[in-house]
Amino acid sequence: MSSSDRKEYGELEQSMWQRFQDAEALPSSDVWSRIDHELTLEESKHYRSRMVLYRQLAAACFVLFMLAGALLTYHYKTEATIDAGIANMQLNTSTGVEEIAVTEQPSIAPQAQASFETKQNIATASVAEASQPQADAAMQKRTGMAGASVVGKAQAAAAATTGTAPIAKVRAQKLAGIGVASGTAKYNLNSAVAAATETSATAEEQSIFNTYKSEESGSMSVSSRFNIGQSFFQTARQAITSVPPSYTNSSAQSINNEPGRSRSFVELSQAAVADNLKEQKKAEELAIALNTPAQAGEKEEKSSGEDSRWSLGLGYAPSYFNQNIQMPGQMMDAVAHRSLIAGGPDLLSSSADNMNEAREEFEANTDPAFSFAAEAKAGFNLFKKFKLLAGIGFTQNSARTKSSYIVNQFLYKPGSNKRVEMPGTTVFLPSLNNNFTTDSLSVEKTDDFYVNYRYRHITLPVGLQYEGNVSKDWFWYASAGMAANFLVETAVMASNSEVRDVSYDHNDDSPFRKVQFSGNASVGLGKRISNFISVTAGPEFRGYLNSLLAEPDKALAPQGNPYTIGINMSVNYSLGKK
Amino acid sequence: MNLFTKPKSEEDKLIEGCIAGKRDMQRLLYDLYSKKMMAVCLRYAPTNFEAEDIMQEAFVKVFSNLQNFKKDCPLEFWIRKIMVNTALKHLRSKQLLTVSHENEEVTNLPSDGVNLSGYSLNELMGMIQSLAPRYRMVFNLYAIEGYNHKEIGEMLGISEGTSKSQYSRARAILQSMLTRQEKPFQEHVIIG
Repeated sequence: MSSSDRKEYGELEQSMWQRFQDAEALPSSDVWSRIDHELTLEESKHYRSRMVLYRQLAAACFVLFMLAGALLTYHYKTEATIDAGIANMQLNTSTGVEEIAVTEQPSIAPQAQASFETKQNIATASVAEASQPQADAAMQKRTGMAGASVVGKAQAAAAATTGTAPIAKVRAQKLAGIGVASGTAKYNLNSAVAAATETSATAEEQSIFNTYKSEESGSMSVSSRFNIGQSFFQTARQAITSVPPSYTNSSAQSINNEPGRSRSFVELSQAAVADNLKEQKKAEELAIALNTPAQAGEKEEKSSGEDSRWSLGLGYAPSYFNQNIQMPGQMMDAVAHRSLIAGGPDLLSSSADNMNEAREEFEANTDPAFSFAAEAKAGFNLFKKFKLLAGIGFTQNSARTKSSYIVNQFLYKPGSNKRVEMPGTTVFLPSLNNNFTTDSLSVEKTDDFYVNYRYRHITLPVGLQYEGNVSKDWFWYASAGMAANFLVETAVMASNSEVRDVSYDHNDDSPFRKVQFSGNASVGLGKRISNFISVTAGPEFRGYLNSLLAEPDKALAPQGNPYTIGINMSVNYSLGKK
Repeated sequence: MNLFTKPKSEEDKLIEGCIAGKRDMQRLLYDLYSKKMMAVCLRYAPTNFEAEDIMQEAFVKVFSNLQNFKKDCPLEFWIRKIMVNTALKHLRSKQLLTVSHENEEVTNLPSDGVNLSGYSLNELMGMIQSLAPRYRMVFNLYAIEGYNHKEIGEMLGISEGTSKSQYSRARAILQSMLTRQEKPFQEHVIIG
């Protein structure tokens, strides 16, 4: 009882208070039955609203997973349209053989040589030594690998000789169109070749059209048909050789380093996060829209201060990452140098020693680099203190090694028996699966440089969080969950110019696991900034259920599972009242 | 965070049962407090029927919001508060809290010296119920519930001064009734 203004609190008030404080009155017997009835109605209303919320949750999860699925499908499909020929070229250009091939073949006809430079293909060398038509055919084959355009023209030319020129021409145009479209979509090299062949198509079309006309008039001879074929080859060859050298030079570089790919993945991951945010915004609007009528009718419930069921959270977790990749105890030297067993590359004794030192250096000098995870999650209160969380995220895990050894590999080119040096690498990648496919190798010591390993994943996390109050504004939380992690990029980058950077996209044939599952647990403290906004922070452990390698059984050393330890910081926003 | 849990009292078990929606527990809680709460509602409502309506509505609120009971005060006090607020809302919805001028002729009566021992609870309840709704409300809130005039002003949407003056009038009217030994119509069964 307040006593601030009790001047009037006299005998009357005292007496009244004493008499009424413990007074009782009998309510009529039907009051309870009316209360019982009303409670039953309330409960059914509550169950109905809960059903609506569960439906919303199911719909939100469905939309979220469909979105993630569509995103991944989009990525895979985009990459799948890349011609297989490009993949071959990438392989060939990465070996650095093309320069040797060109210099070793002085007798190649200029046009065929140009096609070498254009396609950078080692296999063409032997073909080019043949007669001119064969060289043309080889060129067409190479061009056909890069895009559909020349294939289309070859078919058109063939069809022209059999008198089906108009149909073939249409087909050729369509195919050429496809070639141009697919080529320009990803690689400059493709677009260059496709553009060049398109130019040739114009001249060829005219030629075929003339032939068709002459066929109609009945004046065409067999020799003229042969000439048509020749003119096609001529135009195609000229078109290919007319590709500017800048295309070929830059293409080799761009395929090797793949800056476009790296950049596209950053953009795509940002787009994925942005898409997710948009989606959650939509879900928020949907939830608000669906809850509006209920809220209007339940003002009393709102005023009673119930917690909201839906919430959105944005989390960021800088972390320590242990990739847990182990090096084998015995490497090539045991097989190739210090035993009589045949099969491995030639290796000098000093290189063997350096190899062992490089391996030991990797074990000793590999440290975690800055890693992080960013997640957008939707939360749904299951019970009073439990919250179901689901969303989408992006993780970038990094590690680095301070190294001072470069592995150089050599092979002898079949046919010419010339020694070819492949771009330098570190001991890391070849050691994962004993992937020394070369004839000889040397390991040389150089100045210290850093090798960075970067693994980027798109994650789909699902988890459960428990919250308990510490005080009015502060609360603690404990959460645990699982996540599916889709590898989108692996990069091994060295700060030494002699060492080639390697980057694997999600559809490349890499030694790393494409889909990984992880479990995570976190505890921490949270503060309610307002009725709708709260912030949380706490340590988080994320352990991956498999090793980073796709086939750890084939690795030369037992592989551990990677893990991260970091600080999870997040901002949560409650979408509305129940 | 309660790391060390203490044994649950009977009241805790009762509350948990009510929160879980167990109807037998809810009935138990109703039986435990319904008589006292009916007496509270009768002081605010002009009739027995309205008092029962208020109590019904208030008990539904109690069961719906019991999970928000912080245990920082006795459960009875918390339920009582809900009863008073519900009564206020009820009277406000019926526009019974507008300023009334009835009984205002009674002023300047002796401020004290009234002996209530000769009156039964039923008689006293009848006197309070005979007050104009606004006076009844202010008198109940101040004299029996223990709110101060500032709080009453906030609850009723009036100034502190208005609350004081209305209380003075209500008190004077009651004193007048008591000195005249008026016995208003009694319709309640009050257990003293």
